[in-house]
Amino acid sequence: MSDSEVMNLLSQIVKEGGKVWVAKRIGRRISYIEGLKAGEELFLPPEVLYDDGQIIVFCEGIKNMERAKNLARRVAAVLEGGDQK
Amino acid sequence: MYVFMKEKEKLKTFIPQDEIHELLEKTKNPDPVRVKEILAKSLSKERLEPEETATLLNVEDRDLIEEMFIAARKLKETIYGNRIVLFAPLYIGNECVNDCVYCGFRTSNKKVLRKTLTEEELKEEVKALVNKGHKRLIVVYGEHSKYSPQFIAKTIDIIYNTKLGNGEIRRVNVNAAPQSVEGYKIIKSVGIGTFQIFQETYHYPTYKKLHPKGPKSNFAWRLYGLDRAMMAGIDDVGIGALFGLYDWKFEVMGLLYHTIHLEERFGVGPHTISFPRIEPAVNTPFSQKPPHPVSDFDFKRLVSIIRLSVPYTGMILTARERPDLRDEVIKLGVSQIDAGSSIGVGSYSNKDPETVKKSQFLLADRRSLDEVIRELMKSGFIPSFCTACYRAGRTGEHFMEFAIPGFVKRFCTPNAIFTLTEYLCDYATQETKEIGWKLIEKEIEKMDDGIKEAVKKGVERIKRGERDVRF
Repeated sequence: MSDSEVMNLLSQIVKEGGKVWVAKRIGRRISYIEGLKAGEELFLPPEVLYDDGQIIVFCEGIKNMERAKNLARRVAAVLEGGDQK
Repeated sequence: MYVFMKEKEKLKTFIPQDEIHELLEKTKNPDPVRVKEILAKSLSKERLEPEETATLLNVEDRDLIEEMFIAARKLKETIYGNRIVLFAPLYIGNECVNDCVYCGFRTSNKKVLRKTLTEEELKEEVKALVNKGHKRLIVVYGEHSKYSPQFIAKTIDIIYNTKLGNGEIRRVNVNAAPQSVEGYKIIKSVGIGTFQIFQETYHYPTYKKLHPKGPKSNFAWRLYGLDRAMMAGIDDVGIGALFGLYDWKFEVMGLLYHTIHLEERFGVGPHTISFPRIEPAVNTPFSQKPPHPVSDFDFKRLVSIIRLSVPYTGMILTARERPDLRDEVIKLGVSQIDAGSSIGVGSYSNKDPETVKKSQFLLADRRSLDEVIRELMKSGFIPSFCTACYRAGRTGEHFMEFAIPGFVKRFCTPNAIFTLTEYLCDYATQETKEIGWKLIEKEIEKMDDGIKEAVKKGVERIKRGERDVRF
């Protein structure tokens, strides 16, 4: 996995504001993957950009959701293509 | 690993035994001006340093102690608001190879009836708990080869998959023996909440005296148990001390040093701190007359000092304490309590006359969950079963970002209201419902316009039958 590649994608998601963070499902728990977040906390209810049952990308305050969803898919692909962290 | 740690046991740990004694000696008769400076630091939500906590522990002046109580109440209100998170303990098995002098489960106690729940019995216990309205459990295991990491993981999996009507358990915290890193990974894989290990006493000579046999006799293996949990990727851990075994002031210092150690090594302190007082147990003379009993007044002091020392760490008060004292102590900084608890193995689903003989100790608060909820609401608290953070990736280092008052207002309070609404719809008695609906209405009215409507809508969705609504 390339951390910088993922971070670059996350930065693109929050280019116009908002926040994004990446988590993985562990049984009932959905745990944040350390270091994988970008943007500023806005204290809005989180929305799911991507969820394949393993990797979940959450966001808040994102204006262009479609674009963000595409980028989140790429985040998951990078993560799942290599080391699962 | 055990053998390795046995050899290392005498090496210096992060609990500096002599330094704690020296600090507690050096800070005796503190200057009131210095005490007020420390309280101000704490109110600015900074974690205290050992010298500062030692100073607070040495405050004996009644007026200054009252000021400490006021500061602790204020800090709790600022950070946690008026929510109280509720959970129940679920004892899975009381087999144990340790021989802890104060514990009813010790291996040499022949009067305790040994019992481990079967899968079917476990499901019945979970259904009984769910049927009362519980959403959060702490599962408890003795230390025994029967309770392997695989066994623990399997029982947790069964709990998560046991549903009844609208009800389900959404968060399972674990109190079990310290594991190897590999063992923790197995337990982690089923999605646990917090993994708790109580050191019992941080005072090494006392520890050695009270833990004569079994793996628990190794001070360092237990002390570093949560380091291994964090190395395995478990990012919520809980620490605790059993008050009454040694000087309470020393134990508070131990809890602080443990917190600092985890912060320094992993960047995140413990998720929770527990501070049970020793209670009588079956055929356990030590527990009837502990060597360092903590009075109610000193108990309030220690709770407020822990609150002031570690502003952002959750604090757990258990049903070991009497209801009247619990009501008082909650205000000093507690964020979680258990309610409707029964600690005999299998005692939620069976009215077993032998329950006491299957229990680790005796409970002082025997009120039902509904009664506790009603009393909390009468005192202005919002009982909460919220489990939102750990299902939205707000965990570990990311969770710390939310440890600010704004988060409580915008997330914790709405989520507490949502879970209370679920409880009122599905489980509450008529009397509790009446108090609850009024409280919810009042709390929503207090909210900022920005979220008021969203919360109202959420409550309506729940009333219409939707469940697990959360921010």
